Amino acid sequence: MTKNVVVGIGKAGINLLDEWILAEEPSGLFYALDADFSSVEGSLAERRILLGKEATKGLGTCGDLELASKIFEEEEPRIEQILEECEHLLVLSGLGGAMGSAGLQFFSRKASERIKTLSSIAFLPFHSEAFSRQDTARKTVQELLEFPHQFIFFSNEKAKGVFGPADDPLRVYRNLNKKVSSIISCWYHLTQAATEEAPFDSTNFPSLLFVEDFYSFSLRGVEKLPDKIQPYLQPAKDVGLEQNRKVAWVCFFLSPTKTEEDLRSLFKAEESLFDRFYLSIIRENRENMDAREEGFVLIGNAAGEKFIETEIEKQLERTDTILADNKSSTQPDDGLQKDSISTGIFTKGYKTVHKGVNLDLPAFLRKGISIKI
Amino acid sequence: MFWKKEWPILVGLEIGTSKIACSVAELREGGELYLLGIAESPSLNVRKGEIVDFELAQKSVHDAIVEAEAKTNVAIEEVYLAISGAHIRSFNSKVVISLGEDGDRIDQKHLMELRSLVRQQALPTGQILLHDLLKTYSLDDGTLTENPIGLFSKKLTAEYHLISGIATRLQTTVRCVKELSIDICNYCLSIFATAQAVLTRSQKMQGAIVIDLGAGLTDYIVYHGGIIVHSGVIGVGQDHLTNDLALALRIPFPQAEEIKKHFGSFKLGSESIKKRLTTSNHLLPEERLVPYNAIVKIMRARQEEIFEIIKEDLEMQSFWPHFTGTIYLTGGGSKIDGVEELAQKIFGHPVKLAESLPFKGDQSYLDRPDLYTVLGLLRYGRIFEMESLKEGLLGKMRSSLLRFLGNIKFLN
Repeated sequence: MTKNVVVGIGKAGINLLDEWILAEEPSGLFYALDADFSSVEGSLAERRILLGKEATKGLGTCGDLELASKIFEEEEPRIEQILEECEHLLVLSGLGGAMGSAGLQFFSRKASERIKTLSSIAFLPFHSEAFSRQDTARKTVQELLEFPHQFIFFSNEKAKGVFGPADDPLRVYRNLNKKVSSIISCWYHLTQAATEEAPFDSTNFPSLLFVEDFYSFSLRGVEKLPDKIQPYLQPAKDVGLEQNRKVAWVCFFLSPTKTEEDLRSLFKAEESLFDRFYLSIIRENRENMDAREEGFVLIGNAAGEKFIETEIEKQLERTDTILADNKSSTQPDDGLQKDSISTGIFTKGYKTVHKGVNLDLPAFLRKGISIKI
Repeated sequence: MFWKKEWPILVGLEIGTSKIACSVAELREGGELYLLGIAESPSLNVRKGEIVDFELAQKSVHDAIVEAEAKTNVAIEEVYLAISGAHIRSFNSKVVISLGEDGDRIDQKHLMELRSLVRQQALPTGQILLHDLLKTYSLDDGTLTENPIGLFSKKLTAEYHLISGIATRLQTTVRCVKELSIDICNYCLSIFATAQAVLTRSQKMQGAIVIDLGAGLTDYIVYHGGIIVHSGVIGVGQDHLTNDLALALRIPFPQAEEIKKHFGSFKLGSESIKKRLTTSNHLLPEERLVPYNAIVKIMRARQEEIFEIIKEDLEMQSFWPHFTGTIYLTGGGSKIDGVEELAQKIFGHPVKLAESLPFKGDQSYLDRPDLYTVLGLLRYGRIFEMESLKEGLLGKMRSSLLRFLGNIKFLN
């Protein structure tokens, strides 16, 4: 039996999987699943499965969550094999679209039934994406609460301005994928190194974590790390919910010459700042280990159901607030609103700016009027 | 073969965002306009009243001219051109001349001097003066008059409403027409032309605001006490409503335009909540239901914003607290259900849908508010034509020279 299998579902999941394969060139079983022929066909994964061939003719589900769920149920015999041949499963997906959302729910349910460990990395949509996508993401996260697995949620929106310019979501998304692929590496190495004596403990992975910040570092840069962590604690404190927990997860690829204590001592001061502090150390027996002495710090909020509901609601609210507040917010020097919301046919030509507000952007969005379609 | 016309011919041309319209009329005895016809062709790559793709736009203009010639049997050689764009600015300006310590009798040369002074006003870099519309003259004792000739005063003040635009952007429009070997008789701000088509003298005296809800732009002009006191252009029009619908419903722009035309409304009511529309989406394999209420909300949000921007601007003007007139809506957007009520709610003044003043000849265009600008261009042209007819051959030569100089002004 294979120890670990990584599955990328939907366009976002497959993109992330491909990014990791490109960076690590790992050996193992990796699956790309989607109803869209173009995304499955173009994947670097060894095993590519086109789902719902009959229903969508390879054209994808076009955001139809119901159809995607139906496809997963119908294709169960083909997918079951993936679960049967592994001990640990890592699911990569985007939430908001149909296949990623339905797929993550499906695998979570099946893994629970078969008592397999499942970890997942999922992206939450940009605020500029359609309300229906935000809604799907919210519902999916709520559904996932009932499963005892490890879920890490990355907000695409929060990555704006951190992993790329705020007005270039494509670049943000690409760089975020690159960074997140190091978490896949971490999971992959930890599961691969597990033995009967030292089994993979999935509780070493933070569960239902909404990532606030992500910071990669090398051993040489570790001494400076505390300063860099400090500012990011504030957002977690501000949430002000009893159930909210501030969580940090440090994952490090350590050379055999260093001990775990060496690393742990560096984070002594930080451990007390968080409600939960995870430290994962991966030892690699590569020759050139100096180059590999690097890791990442992931800081976020993890908590119970109430917190998660609030967090997702907050995201939706934020879409309204940000857009509605454009009039009052400080505008960049050119007076134009730097947002990635489409201006449709007005993308070309002169922008209409009135009192610092780009009037080419949809009025109902800027005014925060909710439209149920 | 074109007929040789017995009467002088007037042609109005408007390069609009949604269409190019060309109106042709005869100027008959006593200055009566006889409408021969209007030709239209869809605008290609014109955004917010400005040309984005020169060649495509020129082709549309060419199509409209050719169709107008075919429809009216007139060889079009010169046109009155409507000018608009979000870059158009308007402001009021006063100029004063001294008539000596003992005063002097005011004559034509004093008025010419005032006009020449106002035209010398420094404009922002790159801007060019389009219109200098006289508001009023005032004498040293504060008397206001429209015609001060023959009166005595120590000084004479003239107040003008000036309209300017960015020269480079106007050049594109002008060249687009001139390169088709069509002469431009004169330029006219679109909304000024529209007002000529819909307002009577008494309406102007009572106070009137004309708001043209065009596809790419929303223009407005204010008459208070019979004179123009304010005008403005906003780079937001009915295309924005369509664009909002397209983005919200995730449907192509032409389909959103169809929805707006056939089902568009600004009326929120209990009926609209229940109603649902079926729309086919090229991106989706099957038809889907869209709540009617959502369409109303999307459109209303945009139209409200447009009216609020206009109101904000009007509130900053000195005439606004004293304004008791009526607001007239025109342009394609005025056909949308509930627009009058919405405007009335925001402005707090009586709102009416504008109607074209009567024309002789072809009557089939008079109920088309989106054609009122080209109809107004004919009335604007009539003023110039009548003047030159009055002045005879010398006047014609003078107006030709002025036209030539005007064209140079734009093309340099």
